[in-house]
Amino acid sequence: MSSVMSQSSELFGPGATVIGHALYHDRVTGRQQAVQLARDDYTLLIAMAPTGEPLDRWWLSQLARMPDLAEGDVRVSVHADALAELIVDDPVVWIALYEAVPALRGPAHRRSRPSRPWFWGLSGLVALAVFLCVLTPPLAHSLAALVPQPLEKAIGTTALNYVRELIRVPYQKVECTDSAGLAALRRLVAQLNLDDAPPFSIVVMETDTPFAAAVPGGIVLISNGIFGFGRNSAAVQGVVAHEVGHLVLNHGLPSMFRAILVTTAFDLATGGFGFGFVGLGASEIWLAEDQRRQEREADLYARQVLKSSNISAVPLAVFLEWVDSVQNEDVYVPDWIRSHPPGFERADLLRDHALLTSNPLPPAGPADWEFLLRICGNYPRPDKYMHRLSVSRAR
Amino acid sequence: MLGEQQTQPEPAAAESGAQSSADQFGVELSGRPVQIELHRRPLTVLVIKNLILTIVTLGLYRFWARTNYRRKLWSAVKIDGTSVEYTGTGLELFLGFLYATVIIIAPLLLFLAGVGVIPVTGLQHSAVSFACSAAGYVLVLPLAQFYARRYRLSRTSWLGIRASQDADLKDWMRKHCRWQFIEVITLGLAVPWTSARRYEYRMRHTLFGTARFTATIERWPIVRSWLPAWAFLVAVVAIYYLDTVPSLEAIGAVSVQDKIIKLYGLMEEWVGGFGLALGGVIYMYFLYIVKRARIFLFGTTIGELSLISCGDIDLSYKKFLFLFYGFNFFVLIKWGLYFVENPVLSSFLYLTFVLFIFYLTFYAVMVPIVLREIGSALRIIGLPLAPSIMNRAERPVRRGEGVADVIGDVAI
Repeated sequence: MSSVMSQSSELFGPGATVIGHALYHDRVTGRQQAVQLARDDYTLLIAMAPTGEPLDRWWLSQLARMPDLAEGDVRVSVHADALAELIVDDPVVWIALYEAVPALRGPAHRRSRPSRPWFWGLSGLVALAVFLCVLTPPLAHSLAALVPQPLEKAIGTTALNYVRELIRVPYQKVECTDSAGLAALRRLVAQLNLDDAPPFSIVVMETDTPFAAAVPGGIVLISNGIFGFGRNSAAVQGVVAHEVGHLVLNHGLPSMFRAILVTTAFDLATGGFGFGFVGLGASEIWLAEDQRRQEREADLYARQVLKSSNISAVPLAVFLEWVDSVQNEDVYVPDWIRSHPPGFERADLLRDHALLTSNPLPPAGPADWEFLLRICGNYPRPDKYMHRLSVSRAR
Repeated sequence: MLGEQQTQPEPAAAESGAQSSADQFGVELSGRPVQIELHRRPLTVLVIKNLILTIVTLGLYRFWARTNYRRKLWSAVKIDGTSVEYTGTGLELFLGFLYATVIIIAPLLLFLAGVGVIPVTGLQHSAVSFACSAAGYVLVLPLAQFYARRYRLSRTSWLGIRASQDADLKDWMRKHCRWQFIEVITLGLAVPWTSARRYEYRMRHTLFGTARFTATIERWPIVRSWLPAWAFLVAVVAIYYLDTVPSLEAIGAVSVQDKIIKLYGLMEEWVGGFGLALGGVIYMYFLYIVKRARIFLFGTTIGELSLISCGDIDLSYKKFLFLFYGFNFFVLIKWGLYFVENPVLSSFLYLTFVLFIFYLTFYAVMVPIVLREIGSALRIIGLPLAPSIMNRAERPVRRGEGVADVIGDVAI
């Protein structure tokens, strides 16, 4: 016996304590193998008998008796569903193992419960719906509230630089700085009753495409294409009032955070399928309704500002209808995907007020209008837009 | 040990192909072939079905699609007349994904929000975004690989014996981060060395039942095939910054959109050193991958079993693969050009079509070809000893790949 012990010690190494022999039972194939057992500080060492080739090594902390065994049947493993187990027939070895492995004094392994696919599938869908519908809006507002003023301005500047880089064309400056034009624009904006608005600055960029945006940090961005396309100072004032509305109603940062949260959630749900375009498309559709709501709110704000400033909203209504018709001629996009409500709907909202405006201010004089048109040093070239505009007017 | 005698077969015996012979110990010297029975038509039908259902369900079917494909692939590999089996389920992958999503979503969202609001401009913004992405890549990728590999191995069995991985996560992460760091500071020159170390480490922690894999990889052959690819890569970067960017600016490409269009134009016309160097990178990298795969595979042993090669991989297969990559690269360039010139909706539809073709050709055409080639060059020595291997008593892996499914579709 002592020679066997010394041989086992050599097999397992100097730090190992030899326990005895047992049977290693493969629960899948049913094969059994005689093994020698030993333990070190953390593991149970299992070697094939009599060759001593290492077979397996189990963590002592994971060991327990197998569940649902008959009287006198002693089987040990690391988990109830483990693929192999030790059968200890020899009571002497069992006692040695029991003393060497404290975990065996605890309860037997518990059988694991089968998966419940419908529960998990439904839970996943509910979790996604709760995240998108319930958690995202307040989370976006909370995150936006954490952003300090200087950081918000810096974010706005980054967005501005991005737009600047995007629309830049060779041999043409991006930002329009003609002093007479800017002064004319300032005079137009001064006619608006914007007492409740935060301090903001207007940046005019040179591109024939009519667009306007409000970026975080109090910046209203308009293109000189607006002047060429709008052809009316009241329309320009309406556009500015609309964008200031976004600033007053604090749409910028919360929208940005919401877009990040929703896009990430959809990207996760779709697994980045199709280079992430599927997730991006789904999030755009999901966010579109919220964006349309924000546009309506900004329109209402513009309507209120125009009314209190005694400016007719009709030119803005006509302008929005024209923009909508031109965009629809370019590419037809269904209403439920669009970030803006249909032009006629917005125009109707503004025309309601137009009827109530009794004494609209006269539009800007010819001199001011000329300055505005030349705010970027040259006249805007509405080319295809103007062509379509004339077609649209003829209709 | 017997295994030591078996690793050096007689050349004549190795050439004898499928004919297996036994020495006085009853152990084969010539090895037994691995049969890959993968037919293109049923595989094509399966891939089309998977793609359609994945598109229709906006990607949700991907767990089941991947499972079906793996079952097909695994069962096509026959060793000694018995198929390898994949026992995973789509539900396990789905549950693993849900579980990992809950764990990972908060840090991921914070990370994305952080990158999204970094208030720097131009190069600074790119640098900070790149640094954040690289940090995420370095930390998340090894984590994802750890769990994905563990799951795949636990669901792979042959003759009822399951494979497994017994690595410690902390050790795995520490080692992988170190190797990635070395790759970065050597500007990619150390890639073959780190990939060999990585492969050896992974194999050391991979088991088939109670038999442990080991790998001994010769460094010099893979370094030799990596150097040309690396040199071309350096050339691409140099040409891009020293020649292509000034050229683009000289021809008036100032805006981002304009630059992209012009760059695509240059690449499409295959004009200048940039295009040639890029082609060189793709071809040399491809050769490196093939060489590396061969060296890794044949440097691997499983307990008493060892894999040996009988002959090299067919050159026509290399050409075919190169054409495949070249074709898809060209298609993606075309899509990029289409995307910057056309409205989003139509380019999205075009992309769907491109991806459909890409996935179809890759999974239904390329994978069978590559597997058949590898199978034809493969012999296993010591197969009669395989029945002595038994299952290990590991704790069962209950969930799917988890993190890998959250960060994207990273594997078959």
